[in-house]
Amino acid sequence: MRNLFIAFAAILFLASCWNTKKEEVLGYAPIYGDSTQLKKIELSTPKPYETAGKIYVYGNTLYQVETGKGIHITDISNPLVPVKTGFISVMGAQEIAVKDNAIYTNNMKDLVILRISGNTVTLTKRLPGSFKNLFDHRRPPERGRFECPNPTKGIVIGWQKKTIINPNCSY
Amino acid sequence: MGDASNSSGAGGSTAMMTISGNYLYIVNSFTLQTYDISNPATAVLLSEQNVGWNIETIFPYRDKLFIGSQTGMYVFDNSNPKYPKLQGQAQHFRACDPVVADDDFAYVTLRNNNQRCGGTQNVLNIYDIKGVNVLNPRLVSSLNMPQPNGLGFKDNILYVCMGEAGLNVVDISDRTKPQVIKTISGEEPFVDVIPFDDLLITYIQGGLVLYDISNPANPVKLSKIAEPTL
Repeated sequence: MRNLFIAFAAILFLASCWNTKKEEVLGYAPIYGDSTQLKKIELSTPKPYETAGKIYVYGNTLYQVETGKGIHITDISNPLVPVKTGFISVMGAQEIAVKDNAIYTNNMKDLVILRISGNTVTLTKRLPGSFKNLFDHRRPPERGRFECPNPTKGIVIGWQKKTIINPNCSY
Repeated sequence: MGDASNSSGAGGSTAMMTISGNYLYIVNSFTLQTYDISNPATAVLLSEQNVGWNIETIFPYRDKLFIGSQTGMYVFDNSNPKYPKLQGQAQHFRACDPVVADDDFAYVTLRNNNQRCGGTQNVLNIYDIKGVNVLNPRLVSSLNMPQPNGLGFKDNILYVCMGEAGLNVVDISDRTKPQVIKTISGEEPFVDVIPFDDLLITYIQGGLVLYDISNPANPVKLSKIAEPTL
């Protein structure tokens, strides 16, 4: 099996060498994370959107996923001037729900329950493996061509759709 | 608005996780998990039940949970929120399908834009789920539109995100004859919405746009926080 994989990888590699034309396609590229930061959950100052994700509103606060990376927190009490107030780093984040100051999201495949007090976020509870089918490190959520994961860049924590050049992977 | 069972919070129609009362629900491809979150510090999985194939979305409304899969819509009776019970289901052609609902009707979008979901249809379907009809939801109307995705409603107006094709504002006063009254463009791609009192919160690929929907038929843009999309 392993030899087969190596042979396959070698063919892909050779194919990429033969293909000298630069071809741009819309497809998925991996979002990489640092494996040592896998379970680290932190509150920081607001960050720009990269690949905006799902939303949940609770009272005057809007929580929006930054796909694979965390949660944007936005004060919408004045909807004419919404203000981003912070960002919670949560690797692998895709889902969000909120109730009574408890923030529910996923840290890779784990359900995590978070609470913000002042300038810090604390982990109230972690339920490992709740999102067992949410995450596929090997391939993106849609079929088609995609940028092959490069293990030297870190672990795959999500996928983003973008213009990619000469993608060598597909399914 | 949208989620009466959790009056101060609401999620979008494309969510795989939702809260209703003291319970959190997660759909996981084939199963529905129920968690007791009455005390978050001791949150616990109560049950996990098989539902169907390729489940993608869950939406709570009063004592029901609406689950969208690639092959159908499932309605769960949630009057005992510890153990949601399958009440009825409607099968449809293979497609991606977020679902939202009110007391009498369920609103489902089917889209074929990606090979993951397959399918050939791009359509908004409205099902009658009033009373005993919920046992066997009946299709009352279908309206074609390009790439319909996340959706939400306020009163007799339904908002349907259509990716690059804009945001459709649909009059559903007559559920058997839904009519597009306008298509909002300029902030594409639109992915999902949450109608929240007089506010329509829209999730676009680059971030967030807020609209005033005090007149539901005429959303007025209030603000936007977004980065340019690639």
